[in-house]
Amino acid sequence: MRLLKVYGLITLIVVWYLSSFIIFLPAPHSVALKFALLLFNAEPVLGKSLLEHSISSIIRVLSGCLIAFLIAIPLGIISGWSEKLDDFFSAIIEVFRPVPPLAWIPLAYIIFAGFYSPVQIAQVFIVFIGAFFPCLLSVREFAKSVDRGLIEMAKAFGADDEDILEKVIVPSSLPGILSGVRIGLGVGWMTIVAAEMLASSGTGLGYFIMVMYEVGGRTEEIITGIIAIGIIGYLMNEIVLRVEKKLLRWR
Amino acid sequence: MLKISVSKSFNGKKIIEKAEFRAEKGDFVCIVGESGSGKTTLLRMVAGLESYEGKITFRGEKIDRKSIGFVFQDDRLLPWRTALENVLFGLELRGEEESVSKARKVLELVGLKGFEDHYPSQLSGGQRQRVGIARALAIDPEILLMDEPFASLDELTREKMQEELNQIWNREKKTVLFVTHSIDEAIFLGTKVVVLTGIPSKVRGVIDISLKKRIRTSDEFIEYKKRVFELLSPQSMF
Repeated sequence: MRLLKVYGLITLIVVWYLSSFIIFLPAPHSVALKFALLLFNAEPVLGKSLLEHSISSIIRVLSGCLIAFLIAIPLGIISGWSEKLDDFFSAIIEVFRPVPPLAWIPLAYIIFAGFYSPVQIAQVFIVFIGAFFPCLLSVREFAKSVDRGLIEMAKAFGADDEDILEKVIVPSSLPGILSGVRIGLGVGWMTIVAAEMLASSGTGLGYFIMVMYEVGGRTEEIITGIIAIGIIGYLMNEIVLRVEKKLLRWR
Repeated sequence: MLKISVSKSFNGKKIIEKAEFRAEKGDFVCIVGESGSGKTTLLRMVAGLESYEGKITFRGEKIDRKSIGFVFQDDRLLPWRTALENVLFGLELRGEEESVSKARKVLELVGLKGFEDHYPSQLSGGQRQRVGIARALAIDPEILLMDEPFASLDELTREKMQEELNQIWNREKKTVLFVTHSIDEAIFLGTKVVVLTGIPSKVRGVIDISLKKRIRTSDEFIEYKKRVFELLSPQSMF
């Protein structure tokens, strides 16, 4: 398994190498050099290193996701628990769910135009939209499928509603919460890169890639940015997976 | 004393018609009857999980949910809790102090010493059912309700569990209501066997059991078995 993964990566690099002779694409080694150089050293046009761009993107994603999770998790549990509340929210959810978060970008930039640092706030808002729905749906799904037998068991042992929520429904929804967080972070990460491309935010990986394109198609830098996006997305996913494994040992 | 006198309708149809019986303190009452005779429903009524017409009283008063321990047919353990934490469940709800040592003791009583930190997924069906019994015993209930707790176990495990339950009951002398479809099990465990039959179901008879020895092949055992069979199917010749 491990070995096959390595072979897969090698194949990718070989294909990349061969393509770089045919199409307008920098060779892997020159991108690798550029990546190593820019990771800590400032890139001259924007005056920031890759690490600085990454950190600003990450901060935006984490802020947007945090707000999204703080609302989506309780809401998911409540609507999974109570059918009436679920009916109330479901229409709202169904209307907004199919809208790609990217469609909100122009509106967000307009709405928040009057705010202090409007671009940043708009971007956090777009991440919020992106992360909110997948997280809500995942939590709701699990909260809905709580084993009724366990709830009844709790009642037979004298639990009141609060006990049932705390001791049965929340722990039983934990897998949904964790996968909601993981998916939410993933979508949030994709969203921020796109959002950064559409406005001059000064920093951020999406902005970096866009500027590198605008100043004359600097493909090495562009691919460097893409790789950074890939690595960070992978790491975020991996970290939550580890947490999941640890918290869900009982599975 | 536990007094039961209840009827139950479901969608306008009577399913239980004035089921009446009583259990003295320390009685082990087994309720037998064909499936659909409302045995489980009866137990759920006592537990307050089901509405009913009539009266259920314990020492002349309405039953307090907190004085009841329930053992379910499917173990209904919380899968994210270890065996010990599952046993603690009822104790937590009662805010009991020093409950961990109590929970450990009860786990030992049901033969699960050394399995405290196992999750339900790591236990066998019999072990999970033991945890379920321990959870009910831990709260030191005045009435123990058991709904076919051994029905899903294999024959050998079931007989072993019956022996152990009998020993535990001998020691703790709880009032037990035990639902089963196994006549053998009812006679082996019970001090009283309540037979439910018919549609709507009624109490066909209550048999007091007093075995000199708990041996399933003894004459007295078989004699009791015949009597239960007769009540279950009065028209057949036995």
